[in-house]
Amino acid sequence: MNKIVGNNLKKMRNASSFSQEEISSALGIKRSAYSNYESGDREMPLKILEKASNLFGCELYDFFEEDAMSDDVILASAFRFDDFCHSDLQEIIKFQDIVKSYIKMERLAVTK
Amino acid sequence: MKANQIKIIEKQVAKFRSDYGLVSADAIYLKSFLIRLNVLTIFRPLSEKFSGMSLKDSSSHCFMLINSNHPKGRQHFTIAHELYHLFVELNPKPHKCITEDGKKDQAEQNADMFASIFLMPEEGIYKMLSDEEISKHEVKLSSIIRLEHYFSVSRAALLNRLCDLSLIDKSTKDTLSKFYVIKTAEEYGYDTALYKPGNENLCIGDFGEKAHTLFEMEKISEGHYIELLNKLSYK
Repeated sequence: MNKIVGNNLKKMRNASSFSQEEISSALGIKRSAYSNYESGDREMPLKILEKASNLFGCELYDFFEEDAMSDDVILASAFRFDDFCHSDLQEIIKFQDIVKSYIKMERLAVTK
Repeated sequence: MKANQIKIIEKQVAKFRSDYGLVSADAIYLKSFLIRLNVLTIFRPLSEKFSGMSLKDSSSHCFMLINSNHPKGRQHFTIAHELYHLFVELNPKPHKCITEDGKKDQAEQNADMFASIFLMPEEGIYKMLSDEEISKHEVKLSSIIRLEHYFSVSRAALLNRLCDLSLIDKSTKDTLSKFYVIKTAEEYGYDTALYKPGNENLCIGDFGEKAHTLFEMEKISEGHYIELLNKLSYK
């Protein structure tokens, strides 16, 4: 299971074009620890995984699916001139949370 | 950028404007246009180097995050830049704006050129300049300030556009770039809000409306409705 989660973390990180440094900074952990989670050598605690799901704009369960790739958010175009600072990453997490809530509301509106 | 690439982007701008019934010479009021396009846009204070980002899901819902710490004119350029990624670019891929060697990649250059042409159409610029300014390639400072207010863009973006259109030369652009923007605008009696940060915590779009509708339909509880609204207020 650690390998599946690790592979999904890597896929989503690449799809979001974040570096390992940026992700670990946003999650408040050391880069070496994040690297261990991504390689599947260690199990990522649920609390951190939850934070990661907000950063990538995916659902928590997406990390546990063998062929998961969040198809909700397919485009991330960052208009920037350098690497993100920590506060930017926190803002991106809040923004992704709004995006996720919006998509959920859209789904809820059409369910009977 | 190569001339043929600029022509392609000019065609894309013309089509985009035409698709939404925008007159080719007119300035665009972006906040209204974002509502019309249904792009949920959030303005938040970000670091200087991060202008904003956009997202699009598989159902073509569009989202933007814009840096409210940037001057409003610059924010408008960022919005137009992101509109290229969301509505014009074919097969957009997640990417960094700057490649490893510090240069902007082609998609970013295209998005910048699109934003420039979209916000400051050639026809609109020519309409606002005197025949003398056009024939002599000498645009007065008063015209520059009038143009940047008409199109709601930064001085830097306007000078780049005028240079691209050969209405000013590079040395004039460099000279004009040295003027203190706010001071010159004040001297000509213009409001200076365009050159200052703004829009912090502004949300454009139907997020709250959707939450309200779901609450009215009893699909979400009052607590959930308030929780959703609080996401926008960043309390």
